[in-house]
Amino acid sequence: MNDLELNGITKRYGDTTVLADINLTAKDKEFIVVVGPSGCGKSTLLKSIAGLESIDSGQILIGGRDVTREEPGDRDIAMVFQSYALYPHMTVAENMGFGLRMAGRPKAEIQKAVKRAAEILQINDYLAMRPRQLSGGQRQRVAIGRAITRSPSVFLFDEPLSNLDAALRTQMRVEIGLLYRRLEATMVYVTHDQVEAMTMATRIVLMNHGVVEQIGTPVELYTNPRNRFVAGFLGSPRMNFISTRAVEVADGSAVVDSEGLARIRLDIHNEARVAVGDEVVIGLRPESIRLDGQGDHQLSARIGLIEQLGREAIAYLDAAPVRAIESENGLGHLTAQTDGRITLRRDDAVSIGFDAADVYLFDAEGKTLTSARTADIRSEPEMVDA
Amino acid sequence: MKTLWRRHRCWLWPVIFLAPGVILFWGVIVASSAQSLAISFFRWDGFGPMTWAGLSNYVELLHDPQFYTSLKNNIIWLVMFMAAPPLGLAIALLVNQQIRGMRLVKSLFFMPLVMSQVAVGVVFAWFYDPTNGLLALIFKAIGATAPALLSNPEWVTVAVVIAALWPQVSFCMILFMAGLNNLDESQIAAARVDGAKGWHMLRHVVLPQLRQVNFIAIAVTVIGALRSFDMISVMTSGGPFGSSNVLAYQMYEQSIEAYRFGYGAAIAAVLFVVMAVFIAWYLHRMLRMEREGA
Ligand SMILES: Nc1ncnc2c1ncn2[C@@H]1O[C@H](COP(=O)(O)OP(=O)(O)OP(=O)(O)O)[C@@H](O)[C@H]1O
Ligand SMILES: [Mg+2]
Repeated sequence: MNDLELNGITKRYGDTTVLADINLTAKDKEFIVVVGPSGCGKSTLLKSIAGLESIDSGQILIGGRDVTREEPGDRDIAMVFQSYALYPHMTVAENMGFGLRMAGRPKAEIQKAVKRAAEILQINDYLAMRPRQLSGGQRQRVAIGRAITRSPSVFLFDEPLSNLDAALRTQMRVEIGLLYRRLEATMVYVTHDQVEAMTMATRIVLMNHGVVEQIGTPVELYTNPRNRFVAGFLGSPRMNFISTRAVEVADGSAVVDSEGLARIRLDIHNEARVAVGDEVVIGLRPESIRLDGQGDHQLSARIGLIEQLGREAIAYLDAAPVRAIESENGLGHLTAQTDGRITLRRDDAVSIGFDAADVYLFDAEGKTLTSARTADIRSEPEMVDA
Repeated sequence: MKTLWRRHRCWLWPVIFLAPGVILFWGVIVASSAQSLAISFFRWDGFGPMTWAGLSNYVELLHDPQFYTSLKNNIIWLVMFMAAPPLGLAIALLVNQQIRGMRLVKSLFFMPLVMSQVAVGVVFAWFYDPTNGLLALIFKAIGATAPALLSNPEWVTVAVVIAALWPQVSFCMILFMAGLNNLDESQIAAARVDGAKGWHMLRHVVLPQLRQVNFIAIAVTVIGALRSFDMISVMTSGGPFGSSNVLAYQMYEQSIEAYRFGYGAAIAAVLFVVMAVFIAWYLHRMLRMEREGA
């Protein structure tokens, strides 16, 4: 049993609360990805789990054992740092075997464990070299190898790929995924890269300002964000938000209306608190906006800019008087994602369409009002049998 | 004129910038060393005419028991001074702990550095004073009589070296404190996760990162031991009966007090050779370390 349980973790630096009441239960063999904007407390959370930072209140259980007051070395965890943190004066093999050596294991056992880890990561050829003789990617492998050698219950990764170039990052991402399946350990992985979060996680923990905004599978968070922050954070390009007003509220549905946008009737869930006249915000993902005018609702717009990415294209649309708030380009343009084969150019007039079923509704505080929808996208990584 | 400058400025600039250093180095260090070496082959009282003496100054030195006492004392200084880097490191590790009031302790350890060597010598001379010194009071408190350390030929050098160690330890402490501030935090964190604690952390993770600082501390300490002069001058003037003398002080004594510049210069030459051996080793190590670091 390698599960990890965090109960009400709180951490303060002086007067600022960096982690506020974090609760998380990671089942055995789960791949938890922690994401959030810079400075939200991801690294601090990871260091608290590792025991590198003491927490002000709360409890940490690893494999059912309370390790809150234990030294990092006694917690049965291993950590991979963004800066690799290899010991420069030791060879690769010594680096990888250091943890076992500190644990007082016999030489033969250490050698075996190092060899096994080196084989998994294909770094056998570098075992006698020093870290400075290796490239960034190779160093990162060694750092991961150092973690594997100790066969811990829980692996902690703090943005392990952010120092690598794009191609290498993709390769290592796939490799860590494979490694996870092979090692069958619990992993907590911090990143600010959405692609890493969406593709690797069995569950995502989305943090903001030291609090957990939502925990769930990637698809769950993507299709049913609990609030506007989650909706805006996941997905690239990000969701379009448009200010509007509730003009009609009935049981299970609400109608919104604003200048330039036709009245839209939306399903809302039972606990949604909204009254006629309330300021609300609707959200529409770029892929839900169609440039061919198809859909329940239409509005006319002018193309502000097309970003051609080959397979797909991103269109920035000036749909005045409809303006997106917090828009990607700061001009209030709506963002639409379409097929890369479009022939539209800048300044062309288009009729854009969308379906009411794709629209999200948030109240003034950002809470989601629309009812949950079924996730019909298949992008979830294989869930591990618990 | 302008074109001349433009054509030659690629080598003129370096020359202009290097000139002050080169002139000073050759004038003050190289030329006077050479002159002093030359003087060692003469008999000279500093005023009158110089008479050629050949190697006789060196021959006399070889038969001078005081020379061997001084050399032996220099070795005692060197050996005892080697305690300064580890002590400095220990104190640096201690005051590096985040405990309340450590700032005050830190500044207390800085104290001997701001005092001049002469002041330190005077303070320790009082401390050792067999009738009213602090040491005497301590001995009195436990019902014993204090030894007169500074007039005991057996112990005098050790007593002086202990006084000289005080500022030297502080100096090493500051070097190590700077080094400890520059430790790679993530390496320490990684080692903590790897289960390294206490001695193992120090030995396998901290000390390797302090290698450069450690090297500088040792080099500075060796040089400090070999050129020891002011403490001896203030505390004992080499006495009693030359038993606390060292080469640097003996050279001064012979030249300035006994008006035997030739003989003093010969002592200086020997000291120079001892230092040169060390400096060659130092430079060799430093170059190798730089090459490895690159
Ligand atoms: N030693 C410290 N003393 C005071 N404040 C700190 C300390 N370490 C971190 N913080 C604060 O805690 C907050 C969270 O920091 P943390 O490093 O956990 O962020 P992060 O989510 O990892 O960000 P990033 O994505 O940029 O790495 C930040 O606002 C930071 O200013
Ligand atoms: Mg971080």
